Amino acid sequence: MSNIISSKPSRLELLPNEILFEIFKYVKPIDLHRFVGCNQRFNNIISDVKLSVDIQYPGEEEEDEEDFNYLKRFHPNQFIRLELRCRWGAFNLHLFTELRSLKIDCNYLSENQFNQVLTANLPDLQRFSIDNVPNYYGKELLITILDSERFPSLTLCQFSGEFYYMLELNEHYTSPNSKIRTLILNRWDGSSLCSLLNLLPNLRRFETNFLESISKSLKFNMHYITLENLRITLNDPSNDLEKILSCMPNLKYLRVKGKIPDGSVLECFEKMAKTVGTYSSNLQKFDCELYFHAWIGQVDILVIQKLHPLFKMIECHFGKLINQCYATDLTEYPIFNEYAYVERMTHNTTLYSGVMGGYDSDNDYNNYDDNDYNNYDDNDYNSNNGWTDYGLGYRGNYKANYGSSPWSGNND
Amino acid sequence: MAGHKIKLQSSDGDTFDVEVEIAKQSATIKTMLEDLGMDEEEDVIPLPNVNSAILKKVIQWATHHKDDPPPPEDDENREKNTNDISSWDQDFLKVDQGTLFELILAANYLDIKGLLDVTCKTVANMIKGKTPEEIRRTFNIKNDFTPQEEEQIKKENEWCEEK
Repeated sequence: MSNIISSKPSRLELLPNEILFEIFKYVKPIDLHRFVGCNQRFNNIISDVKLSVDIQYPGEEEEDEEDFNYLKRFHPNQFIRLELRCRWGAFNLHLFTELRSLKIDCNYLSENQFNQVLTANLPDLQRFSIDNVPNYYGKELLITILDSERFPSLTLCQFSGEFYYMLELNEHYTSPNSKIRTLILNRWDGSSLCSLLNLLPNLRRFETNFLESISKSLKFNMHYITLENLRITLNDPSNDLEKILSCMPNLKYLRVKGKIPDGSVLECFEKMAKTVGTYSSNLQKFDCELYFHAWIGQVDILVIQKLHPLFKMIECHFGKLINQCYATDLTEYPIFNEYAYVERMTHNTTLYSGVMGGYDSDNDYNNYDDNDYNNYDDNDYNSNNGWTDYGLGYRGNYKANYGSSPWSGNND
Repeated sequence: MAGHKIKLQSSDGDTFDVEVEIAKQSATIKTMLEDLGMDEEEDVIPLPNVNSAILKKVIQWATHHKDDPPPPEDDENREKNTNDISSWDQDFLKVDQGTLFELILAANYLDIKGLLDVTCKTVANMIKGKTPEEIRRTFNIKNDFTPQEEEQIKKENEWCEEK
């Protein structure tokens, strides 16, 4: 038997094209570009490699834009995933026509580049995340994104900006988009919920912060039977939840965040238990993150846990002063949350910060796979699958301070 | 049947007794067994593209990974990660480049996805951080461009200056 492993010339070029292509798929663009120009064969193979690129400053200080010039060695139609978190003059959506996933922050776009977002056609784009949309463009841009002709393959949209006042969707948009499965808005208004959901007849996953209480007079004119996954922040959880769940009969996963109004914790959970029992018979998993502030004694958590079978994981975490948080998926009180009472030392009084919907545009949003909506294990929302992690501010804040997502336990 | 073995014959004529379940990590061998109905221990599967030294390494790898779950399907949309090579695989692949490339060829011929993935990742890691000159030197790459062609490539890459 031959035990001598042959030492043929160690030339990469001896490998067939199909294997070189496999290898190049693993090489990051910053290294792969150095092969461009090596020889004709490599150039031909590399021109078929699809690129996934994150363009952002690696450190605190902004670096020279020329640091990203190596990307110009590739053809724009090679880019299928692009995350842009810094200024890059070469970014031109009219050229990046093969993109399937795009994540951009408007803070880094020139006016010309922003206009490209409003005018480009991206037939293959499946996932689009756009942060810090300027106030004056919010309305126009969201309508543009929801336009199924411009982005016919779009299934997931994550959008943040000061646009929550844009209420008259029906005036501007009449054609429903049946492709979108997942929609994540950093804030929305209850009175516009119907018109928004009516536009998206196949929506399965919806995530937003409601800044104000849902109006009692709000009437839903239909049931949103495709919605299975809902993550919301509510101003008045017990009352708002009843309004919303009444039109979403097929929810399988629900996460509620908010502040328990002054009064009784037990009363709030009793009402939520009744609401969930009445309207969400298919619910498989319930998570909450509900804040309460009072000097009065706490409620026996066992009583709350017994109110509904899905409440058994609820625990109470105590913060400083009178802060309490009733949650299923946290391990301790989140210090940095928008609901905390903080002590104003100079005046020796307490102050409720009262800022809802704080959006952390820098959260990682890797793991929203709208095809995974059937599986509600926390790990599925946090497996690092490369499709970056969408999410609202509370996730980012929590993650920043605790090193893990509130939805993942300690798994990430 | 647990423990049932088959014989694999290398290009240089050596035969190796291998448990069927280990050998079946190779989709090529699995297909052969199913298509040809080979289930006798005397049957020999010839592998004319793999020499004995490489086949021995392949069997060693497949034996170590016999209980691994099937590797996930490729998803072009996902960014490829090369930092997840197990320490055992890293040690296993501390070989000269010629051997590494032959292992890649064998993994490709035998259609063993896990081995192909980890060997390709290893080569990708060898490329990481190298200058063009280091790449040429490391992999002995010959430049077949004329100066005119190189100039043309530079022009083609000037696609993205914002006016």
